[in-house]
Amino acid sequence: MTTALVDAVGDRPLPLAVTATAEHVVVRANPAARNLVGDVVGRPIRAALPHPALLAALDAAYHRGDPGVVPLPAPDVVVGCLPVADGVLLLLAPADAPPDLRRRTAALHRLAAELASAANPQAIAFLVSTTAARLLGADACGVYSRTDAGALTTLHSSGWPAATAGRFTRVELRRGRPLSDAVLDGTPVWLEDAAQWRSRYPEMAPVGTSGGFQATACLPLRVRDRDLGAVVFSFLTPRPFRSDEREYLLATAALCAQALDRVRLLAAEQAARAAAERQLDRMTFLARASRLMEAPLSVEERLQRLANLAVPDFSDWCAVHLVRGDRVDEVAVAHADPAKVAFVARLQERYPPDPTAPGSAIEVSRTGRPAFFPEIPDALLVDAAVDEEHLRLIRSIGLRSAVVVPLLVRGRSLGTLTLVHAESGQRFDEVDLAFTAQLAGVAAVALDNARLYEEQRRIAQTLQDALLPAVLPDVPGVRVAARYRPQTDHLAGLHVGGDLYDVVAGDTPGTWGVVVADVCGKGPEAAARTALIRHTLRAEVGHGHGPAEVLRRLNRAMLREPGGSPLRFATAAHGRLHVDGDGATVTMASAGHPPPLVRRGGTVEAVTAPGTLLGVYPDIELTETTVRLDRGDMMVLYTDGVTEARGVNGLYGNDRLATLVATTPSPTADTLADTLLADVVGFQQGRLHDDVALLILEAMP
Amino acid sequence: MTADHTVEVVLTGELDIASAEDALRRVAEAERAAPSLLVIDLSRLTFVDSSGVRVVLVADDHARAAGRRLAIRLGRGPALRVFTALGLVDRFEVLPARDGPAPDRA
Repeated sequence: MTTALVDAVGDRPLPLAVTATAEHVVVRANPAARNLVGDVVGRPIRAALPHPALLAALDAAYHRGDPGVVPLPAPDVVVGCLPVADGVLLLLAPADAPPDLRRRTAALHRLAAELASAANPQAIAFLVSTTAARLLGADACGVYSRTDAGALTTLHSSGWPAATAGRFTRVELRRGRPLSDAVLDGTPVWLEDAAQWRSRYPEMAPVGTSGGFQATACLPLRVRDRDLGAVVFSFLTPRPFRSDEREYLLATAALCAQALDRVRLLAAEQAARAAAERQLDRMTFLARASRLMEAPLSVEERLQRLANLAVPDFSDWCAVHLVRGDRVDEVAVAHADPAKVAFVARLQERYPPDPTAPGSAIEVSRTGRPAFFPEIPDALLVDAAVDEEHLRLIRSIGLRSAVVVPLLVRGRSLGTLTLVHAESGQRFDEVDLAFTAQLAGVAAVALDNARLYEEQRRIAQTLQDALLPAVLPDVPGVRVAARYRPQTDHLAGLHVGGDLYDVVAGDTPGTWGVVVADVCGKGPEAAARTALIRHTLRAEVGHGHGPAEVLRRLNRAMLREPGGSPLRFATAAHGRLHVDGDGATVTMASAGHPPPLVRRGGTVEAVTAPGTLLGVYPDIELTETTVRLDRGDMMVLYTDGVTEARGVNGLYGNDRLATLVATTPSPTADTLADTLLADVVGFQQGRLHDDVALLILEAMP
Repeated sequence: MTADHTVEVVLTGELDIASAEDALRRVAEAERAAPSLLVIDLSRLTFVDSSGVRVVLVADDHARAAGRRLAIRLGRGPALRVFTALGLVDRFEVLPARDGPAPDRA
């Protein structure tokens, strides 16, 4: 375009040059320009005009699109630097140029400056068709943008009869018409008077000359290969369009094209930046949602927080529904205004949602197919409404656009995530739909994990329940208290402990078997071994064997068990309790187990009965010790989760336990059990490194 | 104490459920050297519980199967206390701690 411009001006008086690249290499210069600055074509402009101010103005025009005017001392010229498509158009006005030429050059500079600050295509078109047309002496002007391949749309026009202007609001591009030819060929069409109109464009001449118009210039607006449209200047008097006038018109068109291209790029850049920011927002949001889904909260709390996170940045409303058996429940709903949440809750109470409505959360939950409503037409509300009052209420919510996506895991729908735009007036698009599906994926996986975790916890709980007695038997004459606390895991609740306590009726009235045992190891194998110990003990106690014999039989049973290994040994303290009128006598045996303590008033003694642990050696050594529990005396059986507990103060130890048992003021079996458990839990700051089991026998006072 | 066919594994720090796996790996490494005598030094442990005892029981199991001697050092601290409580002291060849006399086995 600018090349054509310089070609068109040839050797006419207004000196023009064009530079390209950041080095401002002169690519064209007309003879008038060459007369002023010498033949610099092919070389950087600084070779001819080594002025820092000029180079700065060229940089500003080339890099930022800012036009500028620089007066130079030698040669004595004023240089206008106007950004154009491929580089910079230099208008060189000699100091001795005629006043008219200087005035027009200055006006062109001003126009360039105004165009450079115009914010949108309409403002540019307005400047061109008013200011520029006046400078050029044009009586009418229209600026057209190329909106699609086959047509132009008017950005602004002035000066034509209303009928003519109306006809050109939208211009179909068709060969054989001056404006179309200029656009399609990328070359100007000059019509100097009505006669030229009639001879070259006979079909269009009645329109082109209506209102007394004579001359017309149709100038394409192009920047590199970008076809931006065209500008048309019309004159009521014939114009010869000599070179100097063409220069001026073409320079004006070049400035217009440059300005249009600038705002187009700006708009594209802003749109791209806005899209990138929206995408970044979405990614940040997804990351936050993912973290939220791992929070140690109930499923409902997590989903409610997720919904709260979504409003109002991503939607006005957010709701989550979950499939529960044959029902679909709304488990979370969020809106920035709690009053609106309450309003919808009342509405749904009064008008329960239709489970069969297409696109409803219930229907999407069941089908697993998303529903997308870019627009919610009023007709949809009319269809959904049960009666006039219902319609009035749902209209008042102002629903505009909605996305309902299923929470899918391994092809199964767990529920739905619903996003709704209402009072913000926004619409969801395809990108929003994809984003919502991603968000639903995050929620669904978290839900699935929670479900699996809950299942494992339930299995662990069931196993654990099977290992410990649900209730201890009522032992006449003796109060019994037991406590059990599993090791604290980061997967709390998944752990099946290896500690065991039990109280079993013996073979004769008044005799009981008591036991506290600890199986080394955790998990299902330890649980199986714990169950073996419990059931073997129950059977052997029932047969009337003494405690050492019961433990021997238990040891043999453990060794018989397939898969027995030293990894699964156990310790046990087992006593045979004989209750009489004044208390009880206990015969104890211990297979490597910490010795029970007996409290008598304020003193404590350990009941030692050395013995070998269970499940490793076929020949175990066991001893029996008998102790008397008078009324009010207590025996404390425990696992090493108590004495081997470690806290910031080191090892819990036998002494601390013995001291606490001795000094706890006037305890009962129950209160002593509570005191001991609280102390050992507190010692470890609430985080147990191992299971703790306690069994306390108190001869009734 | 170390002879040509003796390998000694010295365990330090705390031997509990958290460190037992690591100790088992170290013992297994020592076993691969096929020593005629494997010594596990527990005397320097500041803590040992029943899951730590597993390490020695497993090594003992392997030693019997391989026809190899296993000996342990218990010292006078936590290891001795736990092995005594479990009735295990008499079931092992107990060597004196390196920096002290042999443990009292009464």
